[in-house]
Amino acid sequence: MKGRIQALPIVGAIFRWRDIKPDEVRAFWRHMSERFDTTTVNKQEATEMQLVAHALDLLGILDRDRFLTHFTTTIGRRIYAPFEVGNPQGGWDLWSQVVICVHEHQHVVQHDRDGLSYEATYLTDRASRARYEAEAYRSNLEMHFWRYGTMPSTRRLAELLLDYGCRRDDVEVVAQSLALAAVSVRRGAVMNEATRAAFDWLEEHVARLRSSPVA
Amino acid sequence: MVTVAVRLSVVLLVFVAGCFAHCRPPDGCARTETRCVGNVAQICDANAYWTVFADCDRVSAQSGERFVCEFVDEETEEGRITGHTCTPAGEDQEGGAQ
Repeated sequence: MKGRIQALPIVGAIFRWRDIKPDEVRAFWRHMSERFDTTTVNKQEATEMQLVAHALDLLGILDRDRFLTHFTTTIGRRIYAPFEVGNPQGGWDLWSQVVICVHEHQHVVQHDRDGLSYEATYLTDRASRARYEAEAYRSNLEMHFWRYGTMPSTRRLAELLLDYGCRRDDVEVVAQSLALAAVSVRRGAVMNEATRAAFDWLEEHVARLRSSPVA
Repeated sequence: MVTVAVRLSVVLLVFVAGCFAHCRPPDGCARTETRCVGNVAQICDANAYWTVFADCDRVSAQSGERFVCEFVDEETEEGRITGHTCTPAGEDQEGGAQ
């Protein structure tokens, strides 16, 4: 909703006024792409994503359009974004584009750290998928706390995993790990490598947006 | 033909690698249970395996201060949370430590 309003002419400028600026969002993505050697691809235009969307739709796992417009996907070092970076749109306001950038780059960290085992177990084992997503969602917690000084609902974040084919039992584990991560983050922990890289840039360029002091 | 062979190899590799997650017996822990192993926090997953949840040495390096794996017991906006996680070294535990 906020992204849709931010995209409006004239009125949108009012809603962008206190937010991060489009050029800053682009610069942030460039920073993260250079730091982690990644490439960002328009999801709707990528043939491979069209095929995946079609397969997910046929299997009844996820609606084709929902996959292409609501989910950012990372494979290896390629990040498939369902929005044009720096252009707000429905579901993707400017700050959420920053947050998802950090989340996806934590998946790149996992790819570098665990190699083939990451991709393989993510695809074949729901508990592993839940664990990897829980780790990436920690970046969402860290970014939210940096910006607003509060924690989003860890339970609500954990329940997003139902969209990833995870079980209720997996969601319970993720909710517990995110709640414990939130305790650490409130006490000054920077848990994810991608978040550390993000904070370095944010502190230098848009410290005005910060609510809580971080290391 | 080469393409088919490559695809089959990839599929095989994926399943072999996926096997790492399943080819050992479960640890038998209770789902959502946590513990510290050295300075690493672990959580028991839905398949009853211990998995690493946070490496507090890495957290220390990224946070600019030393963190240690400890038991916490805290009231939060979402209710009471208990378990093991990384906390700043030397910090007094409000809810006690185990």
